[in-house]
Amino acid sequence: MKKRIIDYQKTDTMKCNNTQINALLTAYLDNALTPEESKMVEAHLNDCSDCLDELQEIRTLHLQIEHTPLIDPPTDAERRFRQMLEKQHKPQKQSITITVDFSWKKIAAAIIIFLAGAATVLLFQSKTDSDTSSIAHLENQVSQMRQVLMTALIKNDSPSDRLKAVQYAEQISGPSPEVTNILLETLNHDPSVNVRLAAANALHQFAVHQEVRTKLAQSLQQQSDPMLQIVLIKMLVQFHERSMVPTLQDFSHDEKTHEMVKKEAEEALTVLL
Amino acid sequence: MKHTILVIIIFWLAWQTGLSQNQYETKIPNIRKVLIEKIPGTLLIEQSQNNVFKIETDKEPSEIVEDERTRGLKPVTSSYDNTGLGLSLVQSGSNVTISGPNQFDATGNYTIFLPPEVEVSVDLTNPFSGQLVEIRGLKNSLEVKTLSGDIKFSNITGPTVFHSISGNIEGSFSDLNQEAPSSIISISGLIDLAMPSNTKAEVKLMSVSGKIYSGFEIEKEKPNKNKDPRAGELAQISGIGQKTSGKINGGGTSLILQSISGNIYFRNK
Amino acid sequence: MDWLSDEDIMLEVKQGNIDALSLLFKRHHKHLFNFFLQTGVEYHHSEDLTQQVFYRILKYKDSYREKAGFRKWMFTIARNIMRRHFETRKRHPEQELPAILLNISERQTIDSEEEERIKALYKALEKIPPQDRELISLSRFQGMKYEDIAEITGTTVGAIKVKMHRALKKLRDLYFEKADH
Ligand SMILES: [Zn+2]
Repeated sequence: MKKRIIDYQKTDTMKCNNTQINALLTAYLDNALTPEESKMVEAHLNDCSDCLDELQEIRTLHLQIEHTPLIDPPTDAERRFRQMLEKQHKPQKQSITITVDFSWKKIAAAIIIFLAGAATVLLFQSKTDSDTSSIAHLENQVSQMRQVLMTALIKNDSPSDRLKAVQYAEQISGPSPEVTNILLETLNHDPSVNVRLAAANALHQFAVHQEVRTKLAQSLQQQSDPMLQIVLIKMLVQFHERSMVPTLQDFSHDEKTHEMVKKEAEEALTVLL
Repeated sequence: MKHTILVIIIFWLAWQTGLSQNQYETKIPNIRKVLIEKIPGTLLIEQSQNNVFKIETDKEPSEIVEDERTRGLKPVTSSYDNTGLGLSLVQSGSNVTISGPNQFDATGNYTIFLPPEVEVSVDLTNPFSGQLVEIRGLKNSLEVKTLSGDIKFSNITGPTVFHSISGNIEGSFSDLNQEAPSSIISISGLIDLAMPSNTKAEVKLMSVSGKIYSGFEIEKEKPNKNKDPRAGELAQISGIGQKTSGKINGGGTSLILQSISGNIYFRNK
Repeated sequence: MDWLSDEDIMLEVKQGNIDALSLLFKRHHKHLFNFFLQTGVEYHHSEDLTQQVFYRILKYKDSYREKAGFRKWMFTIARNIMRRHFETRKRHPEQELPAILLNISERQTIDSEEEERIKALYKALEKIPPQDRELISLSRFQGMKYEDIAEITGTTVGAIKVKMHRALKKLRDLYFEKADH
C-alpha cells in the first residue's frame, strides 16, 4: 500500500468542466451519495479520465491519512478524568474557618512566673531554716521544687502535662505521703489511661510500703483498663501482696475480663496461694 | 462550663455565607484547647496557616429546619448542628469542642485544620465515632483515644498521649518534643512508630504477649534496685511484662510504648 | 463492555451511573484530543479541552436525548469549547499547528519516508483555512459520517459533500506539491 503512495505521480492539470459532478467525487469514495448521485458519477467516470485520475488522487490521500497515527494524549489523562469524576460523586467541599486569638499565652506565662516565684520563696525559706547546706539538703530543695511543680501540673488539663507531673513524682527522693497520695489519686481518677498507667509505674518504687500496696490492691479492684490491670497484678505479685487474691479470683471468673488479664490473674493466683 | 457560649450566630452567618462560597472566616478569642469528639466517617487533622482554624467536609449540607416555635431562640443542646457541616461547635472558656451527632453515620470525610499553638484532644471512644483518625504534620500537643479505630500520623512531634483498645497505632514523628513525656498504648492493636535516628529519649517498651522490635540501640538501665528484701528474688524473674527500657542517644524525654497483645515496632529513620 | 453502544452507556450515565462515563472517555478521548490538535489548539490546552468536554457531558447529562448519536453530541460540544477557546485567547486558529504533530520521530520509530509524508500532510493541513481543517479532522481522522458532520456544523448533507470535496482538494493540492519536492 505504501508502494502505491510512493509511486503515485501527480497529474498537474484537472481539466474536467463538469464541476457539479466533480464536487461529488470525495463523497462518492466515501459511499455518501444517494443512489441517483452515484449513478451519475459512475456514468461520468466512464468518459472523463480527468475525474478518474482525480479519484485515484483522492484515494491516495485518504490512504495516507489512514496511515497517519493519532497523537497519544498525556499519560495522566485518564487519571485526571477519574479525579474529576470522583469529585462529582461528592458534593463540593464546605468549610468553616476560625481565626484563633492567642491571648491565653500571656496567662500561661503568668502562671509559670508565679510558679517560679513560689519555688524561689521555698528555696529561701529552707535556707533560713538551717545553715547546714549539705548535698542532702540541696537534694531536698530540688525535690521540694519538683513537688511544687508536680502538684501544680497534676491539676493541668493537658494529659502530657500530667504525665510530666508523674515523671517529677518519680524523681522525688524520699517521697512524702503527699506525693504518694497524689499518685494514688491519679491512678484511680485520672481521665487518661496513659496517665493512670504512668502513675502505676511511678508507684512501683513506693510499693515497699505496705500501706501503698494495700491501696494498689484496692485500686486494682476498680480499674477497668486491661493494661492497668495487668501492670498492677505484675507489680503486686512481685511484692507477694495477698490482699489482691479476691480481686484476682473475680477476674478469673468474670467473663468480661480480657483474656490476657485472666491469664495473668490465674498465673498470679498459683504463685500467691 | 459555667460560661458556655454558643457561637450560633457566628455559625448561622457562616452557614449563610457558606451557601455561596462554602467558606467562612471568623475569630474566636482565647482558644487554648480543641476537643474533637465522635466525628462520623473519617477524620483528618492537619496544620493550618496563620492561626486559622478550619473545618472541611464533603458531606451534604444539613437541612436547616425552619420551625416557627424556635424562631429567635438559640438551641442549647450541644448536639445541634450549628456549623452547617453536620457538627456542633461549642466554646466553653478557652476550650472549643467540636462534636458529631449522636447517631450512626459512617459517611463523610472531615478535615480539621488547626493552628500550631492549640492543644488537641480527640476522643473517638463513643460508638458513633468513625473508624480512622489521621494526623499530619501537627506540632501540637496531642491526645487521641479510640475504641477500635486506627490512629495514623505522620510528621508529628508530640507530646502525644495515644490510647486505643483494638486499633492499630502507626506513623512517624519528625522530631520528639522534649518538653513533656509521650505515651502510646494499644491494648490489642499493634504499635508501629518511626522516629528520626537522632531522637533522644528515655524509652519504655512493653508488650505482654506481643513482640518488640527496635531499630534503635537501647542503652539498658541498671537493674531496678528492689527495696523489698522479701520480693527480691521474684523481681528478677518477672519484670512487668516483656519489657525493654533504657536510653536512646543518651536519653531525653520519656517515651512509653505499651501493648498487651500487639507487636511493637520501634523504627529509626 | 465493548458490546455496549456509546448511546447505551450514555443513557446509563444519564440515569445516574456516572462512573460509566469513564468507558466513553476511554473510547473517545484520544480522538477528541487529536481533533483539538488538528484544529490548532496547543498540546496542553488540547488535553484541558478534552477534559472540559467530558466535564460538560457530565454536567449536562440530563439534556442528552435518548438515541441521539453520542459522538455527534460530543463533537458538537468540542467544537463549541474550541471556538470559545480561540475567542478568549490571543491565539488564532489560522496560526500554525502544534509542534507535536510534526515531531513524529520523537514519538515513535518510523521510516524516514513515511515521516516525510506525515509531515507534508500536516504542513498542508496547516495551510488550509480553519473551517476546512475542522471538516477534514472530523471526517478523515475521527471517522465521522457526513450526516453527523452536517448536524455538528449546522448545515445540510448536500452542502457537506461539496464542502468536504473542496476542503480535501485544497489539502491534496498542497500535499502533492510538497510530497513531490
Ligand atoms: Zn470529470
